[in-house]
Amino acid sequence: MANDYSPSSADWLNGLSMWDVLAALHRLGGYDRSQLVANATQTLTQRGRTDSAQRITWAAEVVELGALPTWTPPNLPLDRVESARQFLAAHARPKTGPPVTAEVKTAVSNAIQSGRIRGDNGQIAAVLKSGVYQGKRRDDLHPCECDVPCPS
Amino acid sequence: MTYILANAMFPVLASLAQGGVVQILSLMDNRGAPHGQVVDDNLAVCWGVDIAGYAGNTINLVNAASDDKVPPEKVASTIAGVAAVIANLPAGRYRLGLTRPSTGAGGPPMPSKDVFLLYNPPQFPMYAHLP
Repeated sequence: MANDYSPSSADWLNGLSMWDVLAALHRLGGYDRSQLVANATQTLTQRGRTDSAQRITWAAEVVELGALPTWTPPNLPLDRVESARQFLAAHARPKTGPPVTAEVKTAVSNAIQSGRIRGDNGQIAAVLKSGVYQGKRRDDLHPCECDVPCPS
Repeated sequence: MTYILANAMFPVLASLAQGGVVQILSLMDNRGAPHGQVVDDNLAVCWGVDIAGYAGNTINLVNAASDDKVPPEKVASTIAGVAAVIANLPAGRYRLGLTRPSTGAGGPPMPSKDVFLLYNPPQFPMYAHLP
């Protein structure tokens, strides 16, 4: 969508999930991103869709800051904020080692697909797809800390 | 809870997969085992992996009966698997959590039957309640 600042690009951007909005803005250079966001927010505001415009503005700040902004659009659902937090977690990767090269990532992906890495219940496949995987938190577990139903 | 896989884990997995089939038991343990770093209530970074088998060797010292010895073939397979893992790790510094005999998954350790290293409770607070 780079260099396309038409009203249709506003509709396209506004139609994406929060994760996809962030991914799209993340891929753009600073100039293209600011132009696209300016056009989209102007178009949406002119149509009276203030909430949508604020959502785009907020998403752009998430990408530019690499952190959640200090403000949140008043009508933004909490799951969108959570999605942004997960996006940041997946893309910022602070202090977790040197950047992963495409070659290494491909090698891990191929190993999973060929069965040389097994038994992870989809966790690593999820990492390759979205950068994160989901699991239980400690509080979700039974007090005895077993994973399976148990007496008491 | 959302888990990030540490960047440093990718070359480890890639290298191990080159040396043999990696059977993963789990990534970061959600019970608080030292496999990663909890960032906040909903986010953690996974820095470790439990490996249940490698290069055709099952890594498992669980024994159903506490009075019995761990079968020698289990011990041999586990030692071979761990040795193969170590041999295929990329150069670097690691903390190895070596498997211990027990009566079952999550069961109590059986220090008298340990295979790898001496039992040293003061170094491992999670075992401090054991004799």
